[in-house]
Amino acid sequence: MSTINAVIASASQQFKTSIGRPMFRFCVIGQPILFGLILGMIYLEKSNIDFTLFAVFGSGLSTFWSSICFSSASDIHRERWYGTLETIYSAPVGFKWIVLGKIIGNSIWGVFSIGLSFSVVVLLFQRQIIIGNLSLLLVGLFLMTLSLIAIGYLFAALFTLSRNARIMMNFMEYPVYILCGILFPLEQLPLLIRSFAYVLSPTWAVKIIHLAVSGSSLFSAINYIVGLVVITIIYGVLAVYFFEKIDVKCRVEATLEVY
Amino acid sequence: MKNPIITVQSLKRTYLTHIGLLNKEKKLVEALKGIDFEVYPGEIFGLLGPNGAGKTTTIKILTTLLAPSSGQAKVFGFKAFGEEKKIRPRINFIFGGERSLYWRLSGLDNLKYFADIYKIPRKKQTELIDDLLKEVGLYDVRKRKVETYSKGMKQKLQIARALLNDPEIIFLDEPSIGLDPVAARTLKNMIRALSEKGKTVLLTTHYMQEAEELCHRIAVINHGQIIALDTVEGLKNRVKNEQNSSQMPNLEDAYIHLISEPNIA
Repeated sequence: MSTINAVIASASQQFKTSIGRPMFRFCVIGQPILFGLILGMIYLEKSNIDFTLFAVFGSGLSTFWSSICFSSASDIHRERWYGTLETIYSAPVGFKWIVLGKIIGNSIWGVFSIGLSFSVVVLLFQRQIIIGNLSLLLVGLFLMTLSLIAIGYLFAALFTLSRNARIMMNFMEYPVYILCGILFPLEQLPLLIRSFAYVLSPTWAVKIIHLAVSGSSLFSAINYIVGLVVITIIYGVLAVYFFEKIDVKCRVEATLEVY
Repeated sequence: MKNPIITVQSLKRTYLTHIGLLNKEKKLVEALKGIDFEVYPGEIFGLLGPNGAGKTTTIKILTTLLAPSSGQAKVFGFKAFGEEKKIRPRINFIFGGERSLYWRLSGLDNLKYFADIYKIPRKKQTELIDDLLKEVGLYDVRKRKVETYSKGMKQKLQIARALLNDPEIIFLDEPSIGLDPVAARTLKNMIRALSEKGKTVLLTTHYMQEAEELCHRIAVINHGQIIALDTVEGLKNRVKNEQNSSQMPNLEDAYIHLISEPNIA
């Protein structure tokens, strides 16, 4: 119970403090509005399905991804900067649970940013939004949220070791928009790159959302659902493994508080 | 004689650094060159030494934040590297300065958060946090954001944080750095009160008067080696004898004499 309390406390602390930062505010408020406007204009002349997929959900998913990217890497860096990294690292509840709470806290803002971009696009462009299978869409969004939490967790583990976390974070943000089919159909990418995209869980989540929008049944999306669940589990297991490794490595190499 | 609560034997720590941009050259820096000391329950033990002497490295190892390169560092009889889960719930630490707090949260929210990650049951938290805030004199400003606190207030909040888990040992790394005389005196009184409650305190400081007033024993560390370990009076007597002086030096004079001596083992 105390571990759950700590995860909730960490999520709540993160939820309160992260929105106080101008950069994060831009990520979860400014960026959804901007992306919604830009993508809305790009896809204005396209079909209702394309508009729904890439303007409505594309803007939401891309801002969610940005908030995860920024949270997982820079939160560890920020804890270093605050001088709190050592305190939370050695807290009896365990560092990995505290970090998990932080990523959940940021993900709640990520879900908010999806809602915001959705509202902006719907209200401003007055286009018909197509959602053929609502239950499949909800399954897809739920699994995508879990999966992005798992990715954030994995990044946080790796970035605990590195002082170059911010550079890595910036490097990771934009390729995922392109590689995972968030902003335009994955089929437009060369085959070789497309196969690499399936290592990234947002690709699978985007596929489920596309099927939901086009009205496919839950059964027809089952391969993508299983794929997303499996890849999310792999991310989670890898994250836990890396947290165990870094517990030793950062104390041996003295990287815990190195900026 | 009580059993030691901290045992350090032949403790060494080296850091690997890289020099140069393109043709990187690796260099090993020895921060600790095999130090030995013991700390007993209820003791205020001081680690004095110039910058870069190895004080913080020693504290980092004992607080389970850094691995030793060789030798042993044991706290409550457990290895600081390898058995850290048995140590962490029973210790706490304050590293100097104003950091280690969330400035955008209130003092109260900081303590609530740390209480949760220190696994303090929620039922106990309200009373415990209120008591600690009253003890450090921050109860009336508990709802203010930490960023509005003075340096002394932040340091007091750090003390409250460090006491949340009722630690048996508290590590203080230059806790009075940057404090005004009134805040520094308050801090000294708090450290004394902790010792009177039976807590063990391991303290590093550059303020000799503070060390003289507080510490039961002091280890002087220089270039990664302990060059003297004794009570304050013992250290002064040693220097008095070495200098063949009729006057007893103060701790600052004794300290400067000790760290100026070449190659003392």
